[in-house]
Amino acid sequence: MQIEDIIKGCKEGNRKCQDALVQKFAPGLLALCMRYTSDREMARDALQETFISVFRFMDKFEGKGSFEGWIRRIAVTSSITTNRKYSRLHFDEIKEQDDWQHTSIPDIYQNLAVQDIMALLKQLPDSLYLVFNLCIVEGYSHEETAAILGIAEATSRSALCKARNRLAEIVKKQSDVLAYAS
Amino acid sequence: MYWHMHLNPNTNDMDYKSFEAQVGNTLRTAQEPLDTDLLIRAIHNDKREKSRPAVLWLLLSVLVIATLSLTFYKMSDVNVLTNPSLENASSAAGLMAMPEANNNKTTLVASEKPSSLKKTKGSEHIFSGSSVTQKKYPKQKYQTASADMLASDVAQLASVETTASSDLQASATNDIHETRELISNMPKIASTESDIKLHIPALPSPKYGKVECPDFSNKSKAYLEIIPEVGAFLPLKTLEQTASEPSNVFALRKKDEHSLEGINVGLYARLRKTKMPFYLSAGLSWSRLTEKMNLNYSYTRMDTTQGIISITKSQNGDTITVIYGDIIHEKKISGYKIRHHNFTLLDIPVALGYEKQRGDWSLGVEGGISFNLNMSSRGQILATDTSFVGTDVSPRPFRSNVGLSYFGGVLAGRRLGNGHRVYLAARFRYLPTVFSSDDSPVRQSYSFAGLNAGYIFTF
Repeated sequence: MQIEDIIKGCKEGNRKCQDALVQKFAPGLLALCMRYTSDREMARDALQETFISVFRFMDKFEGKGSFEGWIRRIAVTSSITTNRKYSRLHFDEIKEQDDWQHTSIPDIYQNLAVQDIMALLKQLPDSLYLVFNLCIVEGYSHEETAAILGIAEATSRSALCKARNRLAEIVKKQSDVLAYAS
Repeated sequence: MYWHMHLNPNTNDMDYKSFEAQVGNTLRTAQEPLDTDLLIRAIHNDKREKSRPAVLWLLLSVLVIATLSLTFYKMSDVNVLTNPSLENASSAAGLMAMPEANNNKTTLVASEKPSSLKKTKGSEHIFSGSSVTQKKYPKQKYQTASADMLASDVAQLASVETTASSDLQASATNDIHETRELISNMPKIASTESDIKLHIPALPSPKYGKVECPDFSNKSKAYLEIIPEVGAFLPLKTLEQTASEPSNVFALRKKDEHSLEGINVGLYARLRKTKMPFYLSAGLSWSRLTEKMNLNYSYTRMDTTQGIISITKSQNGDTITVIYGDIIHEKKISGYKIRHHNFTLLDIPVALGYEKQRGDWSLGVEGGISFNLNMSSRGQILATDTSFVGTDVSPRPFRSNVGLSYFGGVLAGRRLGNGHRVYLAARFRYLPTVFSSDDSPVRQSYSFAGLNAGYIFTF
């Protein structure tokens, strides 16, 4: 079944199309939800909420942009709402210069598995982790990220800058430790 | 983390931007395995996984039969010959037609006094003449004869009625005259027309006065019965493997796939002849059976990436050997899935039966052929060790028609009243055609053992 047919069927409330939509997008969206929640169970709840919202607001999707982008945006919002830790997050409003150093990363980091990347990113503070995910992984602009998190655009920029610096630091630290060990 | 152990800081570095893009791509395209069916059920708040105990169906059937039986028992309780009010009703009806009465039966009916009218103050003396007449006629004998209606009693009844006829001939004539006089006096007693109208509705309706007469004719008459029926059955499944090589899917299905109880609803017409115990029935039958599969699976997924697997330094420390190789990531995946698939059959069963009556009870046997009109399948069946496919995949795993099948059974019935009976039937149905399509590697066939309850309306 083509995605256009699925969307059309979902707008008409066709159960088969709704099920097809879930089958198609659920595995990818669960991975997304898991990035914004603390455990798999919470991610599953967020995913369920996502699809309920998608079916409820399907009429509002006008087909102008990517459907996957639309559904992923709902999943992000749903996951952040489900994870209270993130919804109550405090962002440092101090603006920071975009002065992150374009550092080099050891070649070994090239083919990291998902769990290794997550282990790396989880070392970031929650606020920076969130902004990094929204901007870099989801590809949202600072305006969109700011709207999702309810912060100023400048705060988003500053947080991303910090996140990059911290990540580079973490990688460098790990490299140094391993170099010393070897 | 694997990369901790294999990190080599001395290798070629990459640009941070590339690293960030790679992180973004990896995470964006990541997928997590999950049971989507469970999620679908949760989204739609569906509770399909709840088991349906067979006892529930049986209990429901018994409850329906009991309710129907009670209702019709109450209805049939209004018997013509045993209910005094109906006797009075027929009397009252006769009274209205009395002037034309000229035989002893009509006179007998006319002689009885409606109890409702007795209580009417103004009309008390009107019927005093009738009560005298009542004493003269052998009401009790007539009732006995009418009620039993056995062939041996017919002669006795004839003699009683002949005697009564001669004795009563003269008095009947007197009664007619007396009653005519009483009726002619009625306007004087009932002061207005409205008074009469007030009394008339108190009379029971004369329609209950209908007496069912026995049939002594030797001729047999055809009649029709309509039978709605409900039931539950146990599907007895047979799974056979068509492929010569042993299949894990077949072994898993054989071990973990179980038939749930099926349901059956039917509407049949039965053609019978009076005085004959045989009947022919045909109708439309709808059946549904469900298969449930509980699958426990566990497997290890291995992802291989290229990386540094060892770094060797020479003894003097100036030569470093770096060995690249496969880095194996092992991931153990286990899960539990419950899936159902069901079959819906629409059939035309044609049966020949034999039924023996014993008072209100009956016992019978029947057997016949069922023509399948359509068979549809829905749900999911096991396709691999860990996954299921819908029954609507192409090529279809199941047929759309199972052709002829044979059935037989025993029935026990109970009469509830005129033209109303209920029965309970135990049936066995054998379906020689396999449900699976010719291409399917597994042959799935069935026999059904069931219990049905039906209600018979006779026309």
